[in-house]
Amino acid sequence: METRNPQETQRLKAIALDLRRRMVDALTRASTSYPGDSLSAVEILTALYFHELRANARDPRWSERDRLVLGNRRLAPALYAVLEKAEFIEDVDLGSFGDLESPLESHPRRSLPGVEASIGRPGHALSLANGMALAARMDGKTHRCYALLGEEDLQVGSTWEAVLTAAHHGLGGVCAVVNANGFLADGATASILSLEPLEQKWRSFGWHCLVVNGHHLDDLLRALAVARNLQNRPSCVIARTVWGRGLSWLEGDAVRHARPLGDEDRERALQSLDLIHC
Amino acid sequence: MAIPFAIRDAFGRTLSRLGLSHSDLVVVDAGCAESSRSAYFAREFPERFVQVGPSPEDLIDTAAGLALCDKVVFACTDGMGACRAFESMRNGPALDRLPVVLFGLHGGLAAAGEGPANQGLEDVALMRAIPDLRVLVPCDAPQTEAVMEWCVENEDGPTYVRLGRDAGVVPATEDPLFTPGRARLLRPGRDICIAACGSALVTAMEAAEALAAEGVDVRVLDCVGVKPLDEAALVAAARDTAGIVTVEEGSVVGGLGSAVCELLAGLQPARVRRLGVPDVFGRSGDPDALARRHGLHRENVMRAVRLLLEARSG
Repeated sequence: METRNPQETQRLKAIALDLRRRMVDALTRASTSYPGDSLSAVEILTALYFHELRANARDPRWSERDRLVLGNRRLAPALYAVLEKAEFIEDVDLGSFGDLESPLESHPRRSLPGVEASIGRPGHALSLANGMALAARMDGKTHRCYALLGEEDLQVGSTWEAVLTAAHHGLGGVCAVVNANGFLADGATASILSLEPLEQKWRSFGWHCLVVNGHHLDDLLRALAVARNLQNRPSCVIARTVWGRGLSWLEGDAVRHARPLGDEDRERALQSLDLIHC
Repeated sequence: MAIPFAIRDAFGRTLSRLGLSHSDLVVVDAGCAESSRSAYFAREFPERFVQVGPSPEDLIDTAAGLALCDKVVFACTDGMGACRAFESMRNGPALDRLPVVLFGLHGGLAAAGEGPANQGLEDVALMRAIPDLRVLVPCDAPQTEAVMEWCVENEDGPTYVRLGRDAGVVPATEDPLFTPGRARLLRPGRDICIAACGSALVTAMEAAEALAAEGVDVRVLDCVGVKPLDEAALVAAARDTAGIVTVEEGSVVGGLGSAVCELLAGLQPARVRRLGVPDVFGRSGDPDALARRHGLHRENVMRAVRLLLEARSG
């Protein structure tokens, strides 16, 4: 497929690689399970924070900013790496994630610059995005409201309440991005509570829905651009991703690799990252 | 004499009035706009009214999103629906200290006609357990208006307001109808204290008047603020009288009575008799009749007072 803007794509790829390196270093020091979720969402977060979102790291509460609500708390390590690279936060040790005195809590807190709300459980993010979009409409503002959802979010009923609400109120300013990496805490999504056919579900609720390879930056950017141009309907981008993307021995194998990464993984991880190409 | 729907009508009228004076006020409703009277606001300010259908979680999460964008949000559901919104209130407006006011309308025994599944008797107990969440139980239409006027100005954090059965209007005093953190002293007294909230306060006053005729001097405290409680007023009542009878139209487990016991056990141990729905489910029926069945009528309040006085002298 033809690249939209080769320079931009290369810039974002370099950012994604750097984010994985930062995260791997942090994840081997922090005691967090499920490293694979964060690794699966890197391209999505890169596309959003370094291309799509209108925001200002110097003024994180800028009233005209686009909003991004993170639904899956297991993406927190990735989010923190993004916020550091994008200069929303500084002088933080990414490896302190989850420590008692660290501002980098196990799920993002609104007190951290760049974080919109302290979401720690599935089922809330999309409703919050709806509320923000409704406020924007009331105030005549044009900023967009994104909800980055995990598959857990789609298994919780309240998310589908929000899907109904957004469609009913014609919230074209809302874009749900689903990080569909195929795994939950207990194992493969398909074996626990299948979501398929997922694209059809969103469409049947009155949303515009696109499906992309969640590691292909051009596809992500194209899909987000299409969504941005829709005025009268909310849109969903289902990004199919690979759990643990970037660390070859983890990829797609959440069941065997649910444990945290350790010091012994760092060298192998950094070498693996040097080999990947999206 | 209770006027049917007085509290709800006051709620609806006040929403309209506040909508005019406060351009940042947004109302979100969970499928009960006509019965809650939030429809009054909807008709006058449709651009600031959001209907989400009967989904208490979507109600509060959407309200949180609005509040994160500088709105003051009044969210409407029934008392039982408020219980379903527990996690959303806790992990949204409370955790992030947002100006969301959840109104649990038709709460307590007001929903008697809808059967036990709809009688949200545990709402106060649940909401009281959430940190940084103020819990208010106004007694009548005038106090409901006063509470709403305060809430629309308060941007420090969330509030839960339980609106219950119409039981009449409590006689006004010189004190403001609502002062945050303060119980209203409706009747000074030295023998015994009745502490009540919501519609039970009307019964408390009736009981106090009847007991006065028997020579019992009853102090009546309006504990509209169940959280935070007025510690000073309750400690003084425990210290100065034979004990406290608490009366509420909700479960005796976890509500006002429990809060009073928790407070006094640590500061000023006292005899407390808790009147409320005695840890049972209700039945379908007339709200006044159901209140009587659960011992929330004047005669039973008087009996509880006499039992406390006997225990003190025995």
